[in-house]
Amino acid sequence: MKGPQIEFVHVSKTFGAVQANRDVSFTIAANSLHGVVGENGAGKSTIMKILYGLYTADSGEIRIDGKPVKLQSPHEAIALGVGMVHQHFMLVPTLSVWENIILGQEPTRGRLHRHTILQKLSALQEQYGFSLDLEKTIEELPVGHQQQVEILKLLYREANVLILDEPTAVLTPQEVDTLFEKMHALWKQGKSIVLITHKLREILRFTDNITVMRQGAVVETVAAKGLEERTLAEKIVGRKLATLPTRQSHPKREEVLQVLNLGVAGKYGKPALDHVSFSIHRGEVVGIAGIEGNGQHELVEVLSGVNRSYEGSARLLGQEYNQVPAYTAKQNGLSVIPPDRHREAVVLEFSLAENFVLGHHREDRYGRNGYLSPTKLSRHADALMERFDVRPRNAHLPMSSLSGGNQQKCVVARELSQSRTDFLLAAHPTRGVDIGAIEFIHQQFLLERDKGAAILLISSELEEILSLSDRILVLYEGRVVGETTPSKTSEAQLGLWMTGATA
Amino acid sequence: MKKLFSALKGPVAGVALSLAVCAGLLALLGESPYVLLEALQSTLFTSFGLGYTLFYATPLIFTGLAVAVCFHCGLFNIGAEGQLYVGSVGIIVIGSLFPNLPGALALTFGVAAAFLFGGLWGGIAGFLKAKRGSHEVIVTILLNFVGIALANYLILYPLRNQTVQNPETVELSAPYFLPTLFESTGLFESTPVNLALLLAVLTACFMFFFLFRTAWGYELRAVGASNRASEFAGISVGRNTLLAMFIGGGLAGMVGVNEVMGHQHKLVEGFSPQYGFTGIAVALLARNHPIGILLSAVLFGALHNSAREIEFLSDKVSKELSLVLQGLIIAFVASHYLLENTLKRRKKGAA
Repeated sequence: MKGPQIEFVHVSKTFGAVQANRDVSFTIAANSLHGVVGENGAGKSTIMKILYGLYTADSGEIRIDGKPVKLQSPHEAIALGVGMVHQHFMLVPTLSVWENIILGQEPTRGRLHRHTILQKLSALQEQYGFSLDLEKTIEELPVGHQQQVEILKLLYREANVLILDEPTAVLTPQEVDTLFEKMHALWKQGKSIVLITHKLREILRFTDNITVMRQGAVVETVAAKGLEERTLAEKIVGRKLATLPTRQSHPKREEVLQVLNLGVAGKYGKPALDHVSFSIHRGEVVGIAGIEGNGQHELVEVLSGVNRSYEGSARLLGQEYNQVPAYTAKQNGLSVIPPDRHREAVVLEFSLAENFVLGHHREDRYGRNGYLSPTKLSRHADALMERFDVRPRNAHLPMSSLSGGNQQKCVVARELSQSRTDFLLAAHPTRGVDIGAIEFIHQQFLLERDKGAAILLISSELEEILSLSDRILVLYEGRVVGETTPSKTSEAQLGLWMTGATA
Repeated sequence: MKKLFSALKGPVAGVALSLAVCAGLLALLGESPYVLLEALQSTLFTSFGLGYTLFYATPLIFTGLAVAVCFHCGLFNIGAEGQLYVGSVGIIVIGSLFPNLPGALALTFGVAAAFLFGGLWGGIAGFLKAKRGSHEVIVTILLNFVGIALANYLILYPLRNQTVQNPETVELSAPYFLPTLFESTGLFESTPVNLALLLAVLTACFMFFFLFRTAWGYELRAVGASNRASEFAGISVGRNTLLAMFIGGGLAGMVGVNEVMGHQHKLVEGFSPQYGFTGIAVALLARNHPIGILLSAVLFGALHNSAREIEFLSDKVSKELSLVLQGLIIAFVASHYLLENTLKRRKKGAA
């Protein structure tokens, strides 16, 4: 059966004072590969959730094959052949693959005919080219396979339109390739695939038509063929993008960070970090590539002073990390952008003003002898918000009320506005941040580099690592398995190393 | 002003609703609902009634703060009841050791003893939490039993007043006596409200300053709001856990200043009508704001007082009515916050 044609006709949706979708009209052709792009808060997820029956539109309508439909729940959407794979998987880790697939569709009375179900699933796997072990539990599967379970779940429910929300955020380049191959095969069998992402390269590669959204409205729907990545990015942000500043200086000889045979114990007796050694010089950016969970987290904990019981040595400007209180290190040139923004980088309940001094709250410029002056705090906040363009510009708002991009700008503002930054540890600095803010954050990093900071960039975005780093290290199972430079390598090469293949 | 209004909206509505429900209950029991108003009127608007209300409010300010300061550090201190007994014992111990200190010094020693003994008792839970990860709720609950039993033992044996039949300690020497408000200002004749009230008010103001205007308070609140973010900011979670529990215990211990130094001049077994537990309600109603705690402590003091009053006025209801009222207030206020948070979350989730 062919995926139906889906039309959005003047769909609007508001949440309180926020207009999430404004008069959205576009068409997803039958049996098509369609992309939806836009910055965070552009309304792309909202419009898809309306299609999937999670939200109801305030006005306008959705037509499937020309017939207006009213979708009140995902069940109704599925019944009409529309299915969605969420960014965060909806799977029960302790249940097996087949149990997860039938979950929600299992017979509520009588016997569970395991054999018949398994037969049906095997047939499905064969038809669409999947080869999952149906008896394995979800927690035993790599992330890429878990995603395939989600897709198989939809196929089992006979979905003809598959909506994928940021499907590649958690995948390695190889897994991304596999995913796209599978999707392409499904498309050939008549399904429609809708891809929501902010990775432009992927959307250009994979889809035929792209709907660009900005501030809740559709900017335009364009053909992907022949479209330049930069042009698309500019359509998304609605203005010209600046180019990254070119290097003003060259790395100096002086070592800022020196890591020697660093080891951290991990779970189940396997080391999380195993004899890791590298150093970073003034004015140098070193990127760490790797699939999440290969020791990045432990490395961040040591190099930010959180974990003080490690083996080997990690020195910042000659001083061993566990010899200096973490707070003191922060006054002596250490700046950290922690990986988990909500839990580690900011205190969500604190005001912006309070967050801007986190980690520097005992400095005399905010009040003497332990006093914290509210006027000094808000003056400091106002200045930073002006300089780093944080919106809305109200220092008394709680951090939780800001968008992800603005929260991240606050973190960057705080870490890069100290009296000195000798070493910047930036872990996933642009995760979940929209294009405009990414551009800004990257510019700030390179400015710091030119001022002589040593930067360690940990990111799961290879593109980011390749465009900013002077040197790249690949981390696999707690070990450095490769070192290279951006000019000598490619995403494919790095992707191979990241999965443990040796160079 | 608008902020103040929106902060008070919930509690005031909660209190009003609970009074209404309570009046309904009285009617069901065959008692005139006006008894409630009458009792509240006399406990808030007569000199004698207000004197007692404030006397009951004083320990509640201390225990309310004891719960609140821990709450700001993400800790649930259910141990104020034990801490207040241990603090009170501290006063008697120091009073017996140094009976002849000059006036001002004796008062300072007495207050410091109450704070230190209570603080050490609370600090045990903080230490265990910081070092061993033991959950402070369990530890403080259990230490209540230990603390009360320890106090009872000391009251009944080493510190006992052998000349009387009652289970109480020897009397403090005169320099440790804290004057009543009547003695010092001529207000509230023949009520036990004393200068500890003033100390409590000053303490609440100080705690506000400490929590919201100092780097120490900032660290303590940061740990409470986010352990991980604090670690990344170089703030010691363990040290602040210990500090919060020490201060919390100390504040609860200060109840002894009101009861022992200001009123009885000795420690009587089982003197506290669960000030420690009511402190949780006081803090909750005030959303852990030190200044709000002053108001909510007076409210709970008045409830406690008027329940006693109602027992005089009526033969159909007992003073446990105040517990019903407290329960209702907490239920209403908590549901108000819950409702507010859900609405907020729904708005946010939608955006």
